[in-house]
Amino acid sequence: MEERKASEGFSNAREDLISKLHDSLISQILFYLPTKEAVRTSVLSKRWNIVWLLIPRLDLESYEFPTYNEFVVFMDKFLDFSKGENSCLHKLRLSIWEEKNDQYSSVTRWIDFVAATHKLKHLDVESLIVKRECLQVMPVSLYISQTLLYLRLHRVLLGSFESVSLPCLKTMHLETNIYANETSLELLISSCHVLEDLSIVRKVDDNVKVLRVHSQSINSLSVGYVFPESQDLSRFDRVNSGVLIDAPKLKYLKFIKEISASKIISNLCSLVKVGFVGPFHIQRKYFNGNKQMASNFFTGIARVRDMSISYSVMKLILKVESSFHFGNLTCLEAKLYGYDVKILSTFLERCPNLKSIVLDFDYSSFVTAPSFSSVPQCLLSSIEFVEIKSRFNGRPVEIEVAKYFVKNSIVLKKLVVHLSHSMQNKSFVDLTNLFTWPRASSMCEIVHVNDC
Amino acid sequence: MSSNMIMLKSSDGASFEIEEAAARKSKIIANMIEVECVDEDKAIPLQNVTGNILALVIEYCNKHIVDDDDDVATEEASEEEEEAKKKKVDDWEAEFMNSMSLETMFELLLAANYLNIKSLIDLVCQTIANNIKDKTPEEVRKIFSIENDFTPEEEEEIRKENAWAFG
Repeated sequence: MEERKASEGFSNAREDLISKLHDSLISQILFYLPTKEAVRTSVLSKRWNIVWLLIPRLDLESYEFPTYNEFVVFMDKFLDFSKGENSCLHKLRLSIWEEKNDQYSSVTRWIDFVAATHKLKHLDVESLIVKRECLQVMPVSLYISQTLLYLRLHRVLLGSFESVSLPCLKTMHLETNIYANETSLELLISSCHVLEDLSIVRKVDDNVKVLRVHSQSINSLSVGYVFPESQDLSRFDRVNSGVLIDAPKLKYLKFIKEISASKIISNLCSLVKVGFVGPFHIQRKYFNGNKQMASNFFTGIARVRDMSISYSVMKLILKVESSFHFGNLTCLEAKLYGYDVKILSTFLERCPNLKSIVLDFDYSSFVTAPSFSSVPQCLLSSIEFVEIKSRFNGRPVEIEVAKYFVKNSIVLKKLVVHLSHSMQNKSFVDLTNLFTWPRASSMCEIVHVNDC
Repeated sequence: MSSNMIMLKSSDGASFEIEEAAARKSKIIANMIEVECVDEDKAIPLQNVTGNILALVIEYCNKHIVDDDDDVATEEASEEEEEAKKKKVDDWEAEFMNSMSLETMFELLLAANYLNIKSLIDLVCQTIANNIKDKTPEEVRKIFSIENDFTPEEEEEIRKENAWAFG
């Protein structure tokens, strides 16, 4: 037979070896195909007609089907085949696009089915356009899956349950779900004894005011809110909402738009990195008998080595405690608006051992160059690396900040700037001239990067 | 050399010397070593693997023993180093798979399955899947020499049943 090259450079097979493979190997090959393509193999030959039903991974979006009903029929047929020993399914991802109420609660039924097969390891269910009153309900069998490793639930209803036993669950992402009540969510989190990675995106109307994360195992946690444009923020009972975290093994903590008033953390003795993305709030005045909440909170995170922060949080920290220091902090990433830049030198005084700082400026407003009043300790003894992440356009504020670090940092090794488009067009000589400031450190190198 | 060497013998009588650590990538051989069925002077006979395929298996195992050893000590390695290392392995694997015909690939898959080398099974399955991806059923049949034993009516019926997937 004449050999012809397939597009990847492989010659076509001389004989049909693939069809002779054992079902389990064909199923493994199909694992690497998108579900739609795996289903298409049903037409290859009689040998292939039903082998695809053994796929270990099902990844479907209901809008891929001409109608929602066809999607339901497909799923029912697939799971009907997978009954008993037949099931190989260990990964299921469903993305549901259906506005109307699914009167047969198909999704609940399917999840109930796969959770009971004792093979499911990975479950990802998202419901995208459904109304609040028509959310898909998670079956109670899901909370006692003995095999589940990964769980992501997006915009579904987690009703009440009596017991939770998820002995293998390592990763859980809960996004904009509705919960039966505060206690059930707390129970779910604290009952996963090997959970390492937890993220929770909350809605203001999710029946949970205070999120309690008590976990002996989690290593990484992200908490915060999402506010759809249509949502009326006046319904948000911010004052009575909050987060309580007690997690002795937690290393990475991130707050994303976490604007509830109360934040109480305890036992964060392993914390290495903390990040604040978007607005952040913590009640500074008297709150539920806890006068010291803000200062306790910042004391609780004071030992971190790595922090990403915004102007508002910097300001908050400076206001809360005048003597506050981040003694272990070596890496800081800060997002600042042009007019906030002056706060930098004041904040850096609280970080005596900082080695690396990454700055991200937002120049939506016109700003004059800042004048820094002092040279903090870290510039004199520890800062080795400075990066300006936002596009460097030669504006007075950028030049002043860059110059400030170069002029004053005694052990600085590297300043990295990312040139804007117009700066990239400048000649090498012009650029070199721009960065000819006196350098406090003899080993200081200024690197300009041309990002495309 | 610090590590033990063991001998493997292919179905067609070829002998190969391999480091024990590399041979342990195969669960079957690892088990044999555990229960001390391995006589130091005697080669382990592998009845289902021919010499040319065994050579490929050994090449793969040798390449991956180093990576696995490194895995233990990666806690301190930076993300960039990790990425660079992963890319190196990926490039090697792509080149390795690229160098063989489909026939060889299937023999390698059967050998990996027989010897129970999980990562090699995954690599070959992934490569075969890449040959199916983005192709029409007609193209897939051609590449793998699969004979279509459906009547046109039967084929039409199957396409209709899961019309969404053929759209």
